[in-house]
Amino acid sequence: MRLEIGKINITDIRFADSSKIEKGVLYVNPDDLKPVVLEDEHLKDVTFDIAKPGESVRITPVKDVIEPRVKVEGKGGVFPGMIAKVDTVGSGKTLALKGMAVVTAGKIVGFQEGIIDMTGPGAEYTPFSKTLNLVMVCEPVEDLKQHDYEKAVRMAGFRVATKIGELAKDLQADETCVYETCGIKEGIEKYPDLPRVGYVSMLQTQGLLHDTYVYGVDAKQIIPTIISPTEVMDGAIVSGNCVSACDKNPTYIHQNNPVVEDMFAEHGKSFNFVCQIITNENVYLADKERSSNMTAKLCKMLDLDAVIVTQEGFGNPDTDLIMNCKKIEAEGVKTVIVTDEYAGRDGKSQSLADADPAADAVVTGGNANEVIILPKLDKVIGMLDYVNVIAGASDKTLREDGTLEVEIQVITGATNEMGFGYLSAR
Amino acid sequence: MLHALVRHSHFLSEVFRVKYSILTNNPMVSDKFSSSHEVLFCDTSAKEILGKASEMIAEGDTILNHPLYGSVKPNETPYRTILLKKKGDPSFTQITKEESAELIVKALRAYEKFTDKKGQIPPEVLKDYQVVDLALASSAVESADR
Repeated sequence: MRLEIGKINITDIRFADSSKIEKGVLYVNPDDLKPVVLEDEHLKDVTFDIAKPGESVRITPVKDVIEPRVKVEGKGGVFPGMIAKVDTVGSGKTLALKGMAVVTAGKIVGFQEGIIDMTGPGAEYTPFSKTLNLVMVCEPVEDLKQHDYEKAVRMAGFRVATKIGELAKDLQADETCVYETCGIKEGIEKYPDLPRVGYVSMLQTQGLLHDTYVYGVDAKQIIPTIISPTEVMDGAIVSGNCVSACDKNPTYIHQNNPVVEDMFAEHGKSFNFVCQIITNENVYLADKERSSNMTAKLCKMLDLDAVIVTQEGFGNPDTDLIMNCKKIEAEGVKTVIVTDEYAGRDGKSQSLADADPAADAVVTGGNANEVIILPKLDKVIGMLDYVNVIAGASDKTLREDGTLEVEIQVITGATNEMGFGYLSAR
Repeated sequence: MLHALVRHSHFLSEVFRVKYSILTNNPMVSDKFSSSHEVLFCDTSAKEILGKASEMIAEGDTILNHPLYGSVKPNETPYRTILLKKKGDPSFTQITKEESAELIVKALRAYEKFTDKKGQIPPEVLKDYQVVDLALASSAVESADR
């Protein structure tokens, strides 16, 4: 599959009378977007706000982050099975609005995590402090059940991102990147001397607030399968995940997966990037066994020499991670696993809930229990009502001077397990 | 000492592929499943639910769902629901009694890394925790019953 991503660099977002993109500036009329959100009868109102890098703004609680894209050539449309029809995407040309994001925020449940600070020490930990953010906070109708509220906000985010993406459909890209995968036979013929390397992407799939969708299917129902990474760039995988802010993968990170980006950069040079394998992280132990068995089998059937495995979330996904690692290694395929750590505030505890000697090549996104003091900021988009009860907080979190003492796990993307961040130990 | 209230309904248990009990401290789980499944409701902490599961495993039961299910962290949510396959059930056993016990030990260890929020959670947020725990437990029940 061959996909061109045309990048439209967005340098500013402003509210205006008409919605358009002109000279890199996105002009948004909230009245154009409001009906797009409110076409869902479960939502009664929405407010839009803009948060820019460096501003004294805190967005919380964050649900999803989405990059607006539009398909201009090739089959299908963005977010297939969710917004567009379920055509197979990943070929042709897609335009992406770079430097900006649509952020859905607001309380789905009282303990929902996710902080994006646009300035200060917290901003260093979240990649979304560097994007111009169009934030939407949706208000549900009375007595709406959490399941329906989550779905309504999730879908509203995709509709708004799609609407904004469509503003770019006639624009010329500032830069174009081409991503091309080979068929199995073609890859072997083209790169006979290069190692065959795959990417195993583990998707969070445990239930309400912990779900991921593939072409519109709840991924807890899938058995592991092969996907072209270019399909994911067109929105074939979307997030319905609201918890575990620091190590969940918002839709934006699936669209811009850094592992895929780096693997494409080496494709045909140091290895042959064969494909992406997607698997799930269910709560039921037999499901875990089945999925890890299938994942290892796919690696073997594809004659892979090595894989990179990325995780999403903490706790029982550690078990899926280790099962995948052990079983793939047992098939003679080398693994590198990418995870994060919950090693306690002092960093001295066991990092993962599971371990195995086969996991001898591990990349970490950092210790989610590390404590940080977040300063009081001038403006909050969303609400701080329950900040003391979210994960990584305590009754001492909101201090008298308005600062927050929290673990970095409250920050969206702080220890992302695809390595989507700016901090490193180097 | 834990007092387990066994909420009846053995009448459907004969048709289940796997015979198991649902050990929970979540009243919503109890309300939803007590008419169709064997529910052991214990009005106790999440950590003590794991302790109770440990006792049942020592008696020969095996665990069906991961005790650290959910990315709602240990000690953050006060609720925990564990599905335990009954000793002697002839359907396939995914993990052994020893492996089940080890999973519980690892889960209890994880509890030590998170701040205990007991008593700090507002009632409306408690309801939200119950809903999410119910959704995650339902996902396991769905897998167990199919």
